[in-house]
Amino acid sequence: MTKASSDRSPQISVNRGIPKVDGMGLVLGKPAYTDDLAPRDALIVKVLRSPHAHAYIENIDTKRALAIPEIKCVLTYENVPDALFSRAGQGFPEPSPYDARILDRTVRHVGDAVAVVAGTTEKMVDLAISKIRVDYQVLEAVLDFECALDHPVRVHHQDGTHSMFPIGHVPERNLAAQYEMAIGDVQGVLNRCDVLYRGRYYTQAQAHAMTEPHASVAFYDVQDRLTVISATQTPFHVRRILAKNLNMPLARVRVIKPRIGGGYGGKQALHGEFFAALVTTITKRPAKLIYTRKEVFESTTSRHPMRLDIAIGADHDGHIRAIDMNVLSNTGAYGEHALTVLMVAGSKTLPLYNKVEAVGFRGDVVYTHTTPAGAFRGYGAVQGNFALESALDALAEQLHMDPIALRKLNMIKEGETSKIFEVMGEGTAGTPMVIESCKLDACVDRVLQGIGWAQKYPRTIVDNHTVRGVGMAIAMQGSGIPYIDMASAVVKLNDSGFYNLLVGATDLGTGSDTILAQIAAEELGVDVSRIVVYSSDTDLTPFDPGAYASSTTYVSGHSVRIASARMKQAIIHKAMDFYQTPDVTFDGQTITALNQQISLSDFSTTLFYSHGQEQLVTSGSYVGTKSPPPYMAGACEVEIDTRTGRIKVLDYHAAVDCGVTINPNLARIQVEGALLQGIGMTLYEQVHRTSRGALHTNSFLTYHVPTRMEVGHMHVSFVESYEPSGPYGAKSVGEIGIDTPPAAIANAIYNATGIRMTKLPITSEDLWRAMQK
Amino acid sequence: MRITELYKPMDVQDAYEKLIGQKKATLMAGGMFLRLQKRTLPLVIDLSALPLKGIETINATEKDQAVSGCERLLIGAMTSLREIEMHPALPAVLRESVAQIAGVAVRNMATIGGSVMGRYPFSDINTALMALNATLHFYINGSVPISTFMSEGLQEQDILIGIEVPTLEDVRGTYKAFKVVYTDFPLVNVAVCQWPRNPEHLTIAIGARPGRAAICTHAYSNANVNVNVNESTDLGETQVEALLAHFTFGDDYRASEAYRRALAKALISDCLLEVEQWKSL
Amino acid sequence: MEVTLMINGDHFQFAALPDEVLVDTLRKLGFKSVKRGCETASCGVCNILLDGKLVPACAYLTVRADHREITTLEGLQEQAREIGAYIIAEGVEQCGYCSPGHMMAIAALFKEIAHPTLEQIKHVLAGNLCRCSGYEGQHRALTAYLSHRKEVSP
Repeated sequence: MTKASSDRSPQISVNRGIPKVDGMGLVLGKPAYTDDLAPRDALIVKVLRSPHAHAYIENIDTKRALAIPEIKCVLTYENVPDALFSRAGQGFPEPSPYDARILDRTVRHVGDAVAVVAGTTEKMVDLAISKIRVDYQVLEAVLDFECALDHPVRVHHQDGTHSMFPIGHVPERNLAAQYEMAIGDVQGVLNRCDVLYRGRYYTQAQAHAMTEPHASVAFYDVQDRLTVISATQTPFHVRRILAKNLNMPLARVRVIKPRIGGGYGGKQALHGEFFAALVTTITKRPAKLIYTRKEVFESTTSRHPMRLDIAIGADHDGHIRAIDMNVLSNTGAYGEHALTVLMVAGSKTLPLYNKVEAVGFRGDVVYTHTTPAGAFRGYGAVQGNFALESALDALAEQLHMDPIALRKLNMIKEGETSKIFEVMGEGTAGTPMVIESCKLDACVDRVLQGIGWAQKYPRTIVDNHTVRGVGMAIAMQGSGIPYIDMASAVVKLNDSGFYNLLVGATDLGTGSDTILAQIAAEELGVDVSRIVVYSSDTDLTPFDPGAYASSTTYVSGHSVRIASARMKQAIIHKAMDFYQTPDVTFDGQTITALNQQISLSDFSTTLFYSHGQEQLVTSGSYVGTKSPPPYMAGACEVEIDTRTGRIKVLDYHAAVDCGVTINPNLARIQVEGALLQGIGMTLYEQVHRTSRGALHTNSFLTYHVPTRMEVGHMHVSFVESYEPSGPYGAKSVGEIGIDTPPAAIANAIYNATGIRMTKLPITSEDLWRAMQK
Repeated sequence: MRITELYKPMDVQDAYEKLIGQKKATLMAGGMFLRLQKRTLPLVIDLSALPLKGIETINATEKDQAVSGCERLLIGAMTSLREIEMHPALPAVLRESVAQIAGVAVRNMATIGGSVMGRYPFSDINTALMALNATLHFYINGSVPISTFMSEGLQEQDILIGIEVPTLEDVRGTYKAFKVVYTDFPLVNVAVCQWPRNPEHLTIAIGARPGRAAICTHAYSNANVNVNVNESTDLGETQVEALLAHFTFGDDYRASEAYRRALAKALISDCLLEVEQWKSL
Repeated sequence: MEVTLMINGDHFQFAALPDEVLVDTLRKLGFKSVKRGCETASCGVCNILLDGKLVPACAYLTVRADHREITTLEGLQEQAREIGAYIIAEGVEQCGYCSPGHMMAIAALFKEIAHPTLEQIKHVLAGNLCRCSGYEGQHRALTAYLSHRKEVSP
C-alpha cells in the first residue's frame, strides 16, 4: 500500500475525539502543576519591582533585608551575572535583540525587576522586600509608541544591546527591529488603480490572562545538577538560555515542564526561571517563585500593540491589484519576538489575496517604557487581519460590490501560491510553497449559511434603539517554521507490548500529548491506550522547540510518525532475525512468521527476558519544508443598543480547514477558546495606563476577560481537506481561531450602523461617541 | 492585607467596646474589600460570630407606615449577598441588585453590612437600598435613614446591626446596571421603586456616577406620559431628561461624564418601561 | 492562634497566624486541588465548600474557619469522576487549572438545586474564569450531564 492510500484507509485512532490522556486526572484535581511539585522546603522567592517607568538605580541598600534571619539571599544588579540575552523562547540564534539582563541597573518599565529576595517564609520575604532601600534617579519615560522613533530619550542607551544577525536593530533610534519587502511596483500599481482605499487601524496590548500565574522551581538533584521545573512552553530554550547566562555547562542543567495552567504565548519566554535558578545556585537550596497576578499583568509580556496603515487598490471589476501594509509595532521595554511578530502581521495575512500585481509590507518595531510585548496566539496575524479584512469590506463598499463576491474573486485557492511565502519567513527569508490544501471557499459558504447571511445582510432593525448587523472575515495562519524548527520523538517497546512515547513537544493544555499518542497509535496499529506519553523533560525526552508557531500537530506529529514507522520496521526485522526467515508480517498486534504467530505482547516479553534479548527503541526527527496554512472563515451577528453603544455578539459561526483533524474534539475546543480570546480582544479587553506609565488594568477587577455570559453562541465546524505534507493529512490549528473576530465584528458593526471602528477594543463608549457625530 | 491581632467577639457590646477601646481597630464583616488593602491592620474585629444574620419582620414606624405599610423587614448586617439574592421574601429590586456582583463564592462572603458601611460609590446594593428608602439600625446611633448616612457618614464609631426595608407587598422596584462584563463593577446603576400606596410616586436612585448613589423622588402623573405599552418607544424623553437633571455625573478613566449620563438615561427609560407595565397589571 | 479544621472528614489541628488564608493552609496540608490564580477573588480557581457553601479560599481567613467543615475536590472524587466523564468526553478540560474551581461550584449548586437548568448553572459559574475553552464546550458537557442526571434520579 502506498503511504497516501494507507493514510486514507479507515483509521482507528486518528480523526477520533478521544478523551485526553490526562483528562480525568486534571478533572479530579491531581497535583500536576509547578507549585504542586515544588519541594516542601523550597525557599520562597519574590521580586522587588520598579514603581517608575524609567529610572537609574543610583544606590540600592539591602542590609536591612539581609539582617532578617529568615532571609537567605538577596540579588541585585551588583551580584548577578552581567550577560545580555533575549528572554524570548526561540531557536538559536534568536531573531530577537539581546537587550535584557537578569537584573539591570536601569529599569525600563513599571514592574521591571530591581531585586530578588529569597527566604523561608512568605511573610518575612515580603517584609524584607519592604526593607530594601532604592535611590532612583527618575528619568523621562517614552510612553507613546507613536512618538518613540527617534525620541531624544532612549530606552536602551549604550548598554551593549545587539542582535545576533541583522534585524534592523538600531537602539539609538529606539528601534528594536525593522523590516521591509516589496514585490512588484507597489506605489505605481496603487496609483493606477480605479479605486483605492486607505485606512489606519490600532490594536491594543492584550493580556494573556491565563489562569495559572507564572511559576518556576529550582533545586539541585541527587546528581548535583540544577533542575528547573517551570510553567514554560519552551523547556529546551529555557535550558539553553539559563545555562549560557548562568555560566553553567548545558549538561549540568535539566528543565522539566509539568502541567501548565495556560500559556497562549505568555509562557514562551523566560520569566522567573533566572531568579529561582540563581537563588538555588547561590544558596544550594530549593527555591520557588510564583508570580502574583499583578506581576503577570505588569511584568511578564502582552500582545504587541500596533498601528497599521493599509492601502488597497482594485479595478472597477473588483480585481485587487495592489496592497501595501505599513506597521508601527510597540515592543515595550524589551524586544522579545519583536521582528517575528511584525513579519507575521504581513506574512500570515497578505497571501490571502495572492492575485495582486504588487504587494508591499514594511514595519518598525519601537521600544517604549512599558510592559514588554511578546508572543501571543496569532502572533501579529490577528493584528494584520483586523486591518486587512476591515479594508476588504471598505474597499467593497467603494467598489459598490458585495464583500463576499470581492473576497471570492481574489482569495487564494488550492493549487495556487503567493510570492510572499518565498520572501517572508519568520525572522529570515521564507520558503516557496504551493497550497496543496485549501477549502477556504467552502468555509466561507458554510459560515454564511450558518449565520443566515442572505436574510440578515447588512442589517436588521429590531426596534428604534436596537439594530443588528452581520459581518465576516477570512484568515490563515501557518504550521510550524520550515527549515528552522526541528521536532523529535522516541518510541520504546515494553514487555507486554505497550509503548512509551517520549516527545519534547509541550502540552500546555492543548492536548498535544494525546494527539501525538493518537498518531503513534495509528502508525503502530494499536489502541491509544497502549501508548504511554511522557513529554517536555530535557533529560528524558528528545528535542522539540516547544509549543509555538502552531507546530505541534504538524512538525512534532511528523516526528512521532517517523519514529513509530521505524519501530514497526524494527519489530519486523527483529522477528526476521528471531525466526530466521524473511517471511514476516506484522499488523500491530500479531507477528506472523512463516506459519507461526505470536502476539506482540508475548514477543516483547520474550525480548526482555528469554531469547534474543534486546530493547527496541527508535527515534524520529522532522524539520518542515513548508508551513501549510490552516484557513478559516468567521461570520457573526452583533446586536447594538444605539442609546448606549453596547455591542453583543449574538452568534459566531466559524469554519476551519486544518486538514484532517487528528482529534476533532480537541481541535474544536482550540478554535472555540481562541475565538473567545479574539472576541475579548475586540470588545472587552481595554488596557489603561496612567500618565506615569503604570497599568490601571493590572487585576481581574479592572481587566475585562469575557465571562461565559458575554457571548450568545459559538458554532465551530471543520471543512476537512487533506494536506499531503502533513501527518495523516493534518495541518495545525492552535492559533488560527483568534484571527477573525476583530474584523468580522468591526464589519458587522459597520453593516449595522454605518460606522467603521478602527481601534481595538471597540468599547461601547467609543461606538456611542462615534454615533453621536 | 496584614493583620497583627484578630479578635472575635460573641456579642455586639463586646465588639463595640473593643472598637472604641483601641485606636486603629478595624471591623471586618465579609472582609472582601479589606483584603485588597496593602497596609497592616493592628487589630481586626471579626464580626462573623455576632448574631446579626437572618431576616425578621418588624413593625414599621409611624412615618414609614404612611408610605409602605405596617410591617418592614429587618436584614441582619452580616447577611451575605448570596442569601439576599436567593431570599424569596425580599423585594425584587434588592435581589436583582446583588445578582451580578462578582461570583457566587464572593457573594457568599460579602455582607450587606460591609457594603453599606463602605459607602462605596460603585456599590450595586446601596443604590437599591437608597431607592427603597431603607433605614439603617446602628448600635449607638439608632435608626438613621440611608440617604443621611450615604451623604454624611457617621460622626463617631458605631456598629451596624441591621438594615430595614419595605416588604415585598409594599414596594415594586427594578434595578439595572451597565457593566462591561457580567461580573464587573457598574459604570452606572439605577434603581426605581414605585409605592403601591402612592402609585404616582417613584423613587429613583442612581449610583456609580462615579459618585455614590443619589436619590430623587419624583411625582408624575399619567397625564404627562403618552405611551402605548405595546409599542417600544422611548418613554417620555423630556421626562427622563428632567429626572436626570437632579443628578450629577463625572469622568473617570472608565467612562466620561457624557457617556454616564447617556447610560443613565437608557437605564432609566428601561426602568420606566417596566413601571408602566406594572401599572397595567 | 490555635485552629481546628475539619477537611473532607478529617481533623487537622495547628497554629495559624491571624492573616493566613485558607488557600495557603490547604495547600500546605497537601490539598493541591485548591489553586491560587489572582489576588482579588475574581477568578474562581480557589473555590472550596465551607459548611457546604461555596467560598473563595484565597479570601477566607484560616482562623475564621476554626471548627468549620471544609470540602475540597479531594473529598468529592466520586462526584468529580461522574461529572468529569462528560467533561473529558468533550475534550473541554484543556489546561485543567480552572477545573477544580468549576467542580466545586457545580457541587455547591447541586446541594441547592437538584436539577438546575443550564441557565442556572451558567449564572452560578459566571464567577469562574476559563481562558482556554471558550465556555461553549463546558456548556455542551454540562447539558449532557444534566440529562443523564435527570434520567437516573428524576
